[in-house]
Amino acid sequence: MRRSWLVLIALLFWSRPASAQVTLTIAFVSDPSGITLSGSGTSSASLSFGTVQAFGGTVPSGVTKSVAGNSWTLSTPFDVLVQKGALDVIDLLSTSYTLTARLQAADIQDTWKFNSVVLSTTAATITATGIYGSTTSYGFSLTVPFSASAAAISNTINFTAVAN
Amino acid sequence: MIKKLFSIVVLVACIALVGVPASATSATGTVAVTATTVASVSLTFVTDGAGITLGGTGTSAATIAFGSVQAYGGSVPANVTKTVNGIINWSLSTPFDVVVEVANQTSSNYTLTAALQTADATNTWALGATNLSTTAATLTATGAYGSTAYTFKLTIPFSAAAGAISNTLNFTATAN
Repeated sequence: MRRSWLVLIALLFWSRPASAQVTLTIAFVSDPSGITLSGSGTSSASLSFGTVQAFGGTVPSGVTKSVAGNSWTLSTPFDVLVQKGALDVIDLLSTSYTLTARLQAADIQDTWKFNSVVLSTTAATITATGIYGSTTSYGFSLTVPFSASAAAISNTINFTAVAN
Repeated sequence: MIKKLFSIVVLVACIALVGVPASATSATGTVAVTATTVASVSLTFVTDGAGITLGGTGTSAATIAFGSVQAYGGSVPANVTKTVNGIINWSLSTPFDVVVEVANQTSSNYTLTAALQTADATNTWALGATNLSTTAATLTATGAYGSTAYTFKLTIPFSAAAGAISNTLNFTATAN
């Protein structure tokens, strides 16, 4: 009997996936104080400011608009939730994660910020001490210069969470 | 025998743990962001350095209060000029700044118009050299974006009975 258990334990360790990447998950969640994300709770969310303007007009609930000397900014928080596999022995050894973000497409006109970090197509570290299972609120902002022509703006922020 | 087997199992387990690839455990996700911007123009009123202090300066709904004033004697607020025109009328004048800004539109200048909200058959209301009525009058058709000072002047005939005077000037700035 004891022998069987020992063999089973050995198999459990041995059967650990060669690639452990499936054991970490990331999800984006609407913040109570922020705009409602489409696809909230998933790893592929979307955020739509709708039709907006520097002077006058309206912004969606949870969005703040500010006007500076030659630009205007839309800002809103949203939450990031990173979780790890509870039964994975290796993952249990990781106590924190590093979160990076980058723009999918370069934007030389507008300024995209996440947690006050200016985003580009090169991954930038948002936090190096992320806490697993904790829904963390981050501020996102998009700044549009007055000089930019009225137009549709779209881009995608790619996030990567890496176990420390 | 059992101890030996146990040792082997522990050894196998250790090898299994150490043998895990060094590649970091990771997860990826995306947030797509969209916005559609449209052009807009801002019109605000600001207290001029040489003018009366505006109520609501810096906003698009300011106020000017001359207080209690009289043709002869008395006093006027700081930066208000009182002029008595013989025995015909007297006027109060003061400059204030009109600030027009444009965003997300290619525009080199703007047209500014102003109109009285309510007709006044007694007093004369003017901005610069333009007398105002309830029909919009063009103050400039080539306004430069930024701050421009306009002198407001209210002229009261001597024949008018003493009383409270109030009206609202409605401005419209249109990007050219």
